[in-house]
Amino acid sequence: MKHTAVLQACFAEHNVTLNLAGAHCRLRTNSLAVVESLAAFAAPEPQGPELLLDVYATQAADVREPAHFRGMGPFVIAEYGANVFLFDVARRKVHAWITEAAARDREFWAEQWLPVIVGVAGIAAGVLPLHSACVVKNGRGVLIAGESMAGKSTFSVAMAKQGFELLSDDWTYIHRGINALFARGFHLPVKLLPDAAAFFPELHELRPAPTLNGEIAYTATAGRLGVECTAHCKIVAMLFLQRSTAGWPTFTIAEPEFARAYVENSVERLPPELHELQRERTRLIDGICQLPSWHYQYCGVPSEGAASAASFLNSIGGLL
Amino acid sequence: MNLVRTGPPDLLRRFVPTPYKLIHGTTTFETNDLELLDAIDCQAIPEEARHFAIRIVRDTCADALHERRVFESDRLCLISIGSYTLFIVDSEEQRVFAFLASDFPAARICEELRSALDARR
Repeated sequence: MKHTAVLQACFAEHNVTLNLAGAHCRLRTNSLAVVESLAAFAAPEPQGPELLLDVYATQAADVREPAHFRGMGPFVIAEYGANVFLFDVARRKVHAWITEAAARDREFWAEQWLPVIVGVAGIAAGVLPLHSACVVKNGRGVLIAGESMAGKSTFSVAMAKQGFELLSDDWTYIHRGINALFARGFHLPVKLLPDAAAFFPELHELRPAPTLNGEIAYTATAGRLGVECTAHCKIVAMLFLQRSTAGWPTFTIAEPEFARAYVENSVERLPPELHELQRERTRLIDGICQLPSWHYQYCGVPSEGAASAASFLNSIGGLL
Repeated sequence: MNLVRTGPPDLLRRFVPTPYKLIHGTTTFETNDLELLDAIDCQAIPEEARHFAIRIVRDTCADALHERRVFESDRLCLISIGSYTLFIVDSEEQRVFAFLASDFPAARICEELRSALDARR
């Protein structure tokens, strides 16, 4: 045992409200640097359920290590070296002990910690994280789902070059509104596998690099890719993407049971202690299953696949 | 589109079964490691913690670094030992959850448990 360090909660000098991809949070912290790092997410007083996010900046040395996650009962722990997050999901609370250097690291907050916070505890604020891309036209969004390596990111960028706006290429955050579901994203850079450079010349000036999950990929902003992006939309449809090696693009109706299986199998199970949140999650999944949904199978280059999909979606009266 | 469904992932290891149970008075222990159950000395549990439910999962990760950190907030206490040993003490709900690194000695469990429970007294 090297040493024992006791890090207690400090008096919270700063108290602000945030909107994290639709999840309303009340941030309490002893660090002005944290408030400044999260300034872009400041929001008015929330009307609905909210998460309490207590962040204590400590004097510990800033050691960054790969994230280690564990969960038991209503708790989840995420450790990033010296930075520790304890999620008390049942009480709608997140406790974080972070270094001063981490408190100031806006990129790390935006690209890693905030998606993790909403990913783990978002449902406590009525937000369901869904592993899908989302493209938007006229404020109406289409979720693009598919197995890993189905090409969701490449396809969603190609759709954005067909007159859609890009909301997300990977994780989309769903919440309920009046008689509709709504989606939000974190405006993160798009991750594109190396073969995407064949389709998007904008990538030629970049170099692929290892991402958090170990994949080698290009990381490009919407601006770099020359596409428009948006932060939120009403969700109106869902596509289940599948690449094929030959044949014409085909659309077949996806049954609600398929959509339910896809969504339920792509999210972490919740323990019995979180039954109320499970009910909220089920209501959101029920809403997703009621969306018009299609399996979309195509081969060839993404631009052609996206053009066919855009033409199909535009042809459905009243959808977009 | 045919998808093979194997059920939701348990990346957090939340649902690891803990089939070995010990009930001593109003204290209950659950674990997936029989060696831990044998190592627990019920008499060593502090009087104030005699109504706690304790669930301990022996993890698969080994960890030679045993730096010990204690994080306290509200009614919760998180003790982190190295990278893979964690104790969460919830004094309000009177429960302890723990993950132990695969090389964490079973003989140390009582000492750490007592320390974790003491932290909330």
